[in-house]
Amino acid sequence: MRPHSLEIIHGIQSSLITHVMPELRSSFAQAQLMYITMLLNVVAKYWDGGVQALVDDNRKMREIFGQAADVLTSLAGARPAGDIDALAADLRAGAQERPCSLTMTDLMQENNRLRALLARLAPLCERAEADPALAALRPLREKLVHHMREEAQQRAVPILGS
Amino acid sequence: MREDQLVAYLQHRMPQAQGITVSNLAQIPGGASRETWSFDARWTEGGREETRGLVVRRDPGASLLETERDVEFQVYKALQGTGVPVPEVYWLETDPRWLERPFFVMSRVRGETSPQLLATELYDRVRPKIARQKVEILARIHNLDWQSLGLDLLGAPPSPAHCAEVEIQKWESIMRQDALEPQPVLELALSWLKRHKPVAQRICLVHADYRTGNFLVDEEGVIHGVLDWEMVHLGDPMEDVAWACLRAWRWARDERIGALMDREDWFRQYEECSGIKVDREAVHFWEVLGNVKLATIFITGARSFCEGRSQEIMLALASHVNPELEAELLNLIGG
Repeated sequence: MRPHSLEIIHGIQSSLITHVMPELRSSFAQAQLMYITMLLNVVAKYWDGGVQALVDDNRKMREIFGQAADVLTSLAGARPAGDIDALAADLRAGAQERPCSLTMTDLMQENNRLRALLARLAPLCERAEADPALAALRPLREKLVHHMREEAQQRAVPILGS
Repeated sequence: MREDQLVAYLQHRMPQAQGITVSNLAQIPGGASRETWSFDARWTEGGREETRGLVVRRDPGASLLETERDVEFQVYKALQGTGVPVPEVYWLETDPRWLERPFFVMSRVRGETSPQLLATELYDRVRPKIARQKVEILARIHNLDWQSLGLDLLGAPPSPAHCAEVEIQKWESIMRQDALEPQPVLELALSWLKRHKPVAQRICLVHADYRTGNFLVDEEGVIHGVLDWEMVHLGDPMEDVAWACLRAWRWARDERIGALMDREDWFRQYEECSGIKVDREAVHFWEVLGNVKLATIFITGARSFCEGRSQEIMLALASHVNPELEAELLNLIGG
C-alpha cells in the first residue's frame, strides 16, 4: 500500500526539516530535531533490509559454528584452560537451523542466541593467536573476523561526522 | 530549569547580593552525561553592579555513563592556576530542593566547541594554531604534579604496569553489566587487549575525553577552556594521545585527527611539548581500548533509553554508532 513505510519515514524527515526546524528558536531544540531525523534513517535502513540482514547473518553464523565445532572436537588431547567440550557441543547445536518466523522479533531473538555463542567463540579464537595448543583455531579466527567485519559494516548507518 | 530557581539558588549562595536577576537561560546541546545550561546573572554587591556568564552542569535522570560530579568538580578546582585552561568553578550542590538533581555552577567561557564547525573553512586560517595549543595543553596536563594538587583522590593504579589492566577491568565490567545483547566483537577486542597490555612510562593525570569537541575555541584560534573532565583518572598518558586519534573524532571525514592535524604531526608535537616519547604500540593498544570504551559508553546509554530511565533521543541514536566502532575495532585488531 502506498505510501509504504519507507516513503512515510522520508516524508516525516522532510516535513521536520522543512516545516518544524525553521520554527525552533533554541539550538537545543534544533539539535534534538536533528537527532530525530538521523534516528529515522536508522529505522528506514532496518525497515527495508533488516529481515534479509538477519536471515543472512544467522545463516553465516551457523556455518561458522559447524566448522568451529569440528575444529574444537579435533583439539582433544591439547587441552588449554576452558571448557572446550561444552562449547563444541553448544556450537554443534547452534549450527542446526531452528524453525523461526520472519518477524523481526523472532529473527532478532534467534540472532541474539547465535551471537551469544559467537561471543564465547571469539575470545577463544583470539587466544589462539598466542597459544600453540589452539593453533588449529587460527584460520577460524580469520573467518570470524571477516564475517563480523562484514556484518558490522552492513549494520552501520553513518552517524559520526554527520 | 527556570530562571526563578536559579535566582533563589544564587541568593542562597550569595546572601550579600541584592537584586539578583537571571536571563538568557538556555540548555546547550550535546553532552548526554550531564545537562549543561547557560545563563547570565546580574546583581548588586557593595554598591557595585556585577554581571556574570554562568553555566550549570546538572545530573540528568539517567545518562550515558554515571560519573561522579563531585570528582569532576574537585578536578576543576585543583586545576585553577596550573596553566591548564578550565572554567572557574563556584559551587557544588547535592541538595535536590534547588534544581531537582545535584549540580555544580561554573563560569561561562567564551568559544565554540562544535567539532563540525571547527572542521569547516571558517577555521582554516587558525587551524594550525588550534592544533598546537591542543598539543601544548595536553602536554601540560600530563606533566602536572598531580600529587601536590591533591589529585591522588582519583586513586592511582598500583604501578605503571597496572594502568592498562585497571582500564580493561573498568570497561569490561561496565560492558557486562549494561549490555542488552551479546557483544562478540567487544569480547574479541577484550581478549586482544588482555594479551597486549603495555607498561606506562609514567602515571599521570589523564583527561580521558581529550578531543576536538571538548574545548572552547574562539575565532582567532585561542583555546579558552578544556571541558568534560567526567572520566578523568590517573593512568597512562598514551591513553589520551590515542583517544584523540580515534576514527570517531575524524570530523573532517579524512585522516586528520580531530580535523586538526595528521597523526605523525600529533605524535611529533606531543613529544616536543611533553618530553614524553610516543610509544606507538601503546597508542595502538589504547586506540583499541578507546573504541571498546566508546562502544561501552553507548551501550550504557542504550540501556538507560530502553529501560525508560531516560527519554533522551541522543542515547538511542548514539548506540547505533556501535557498528561503525565494531568495524573499526576489527580493522585495528583483525590482522
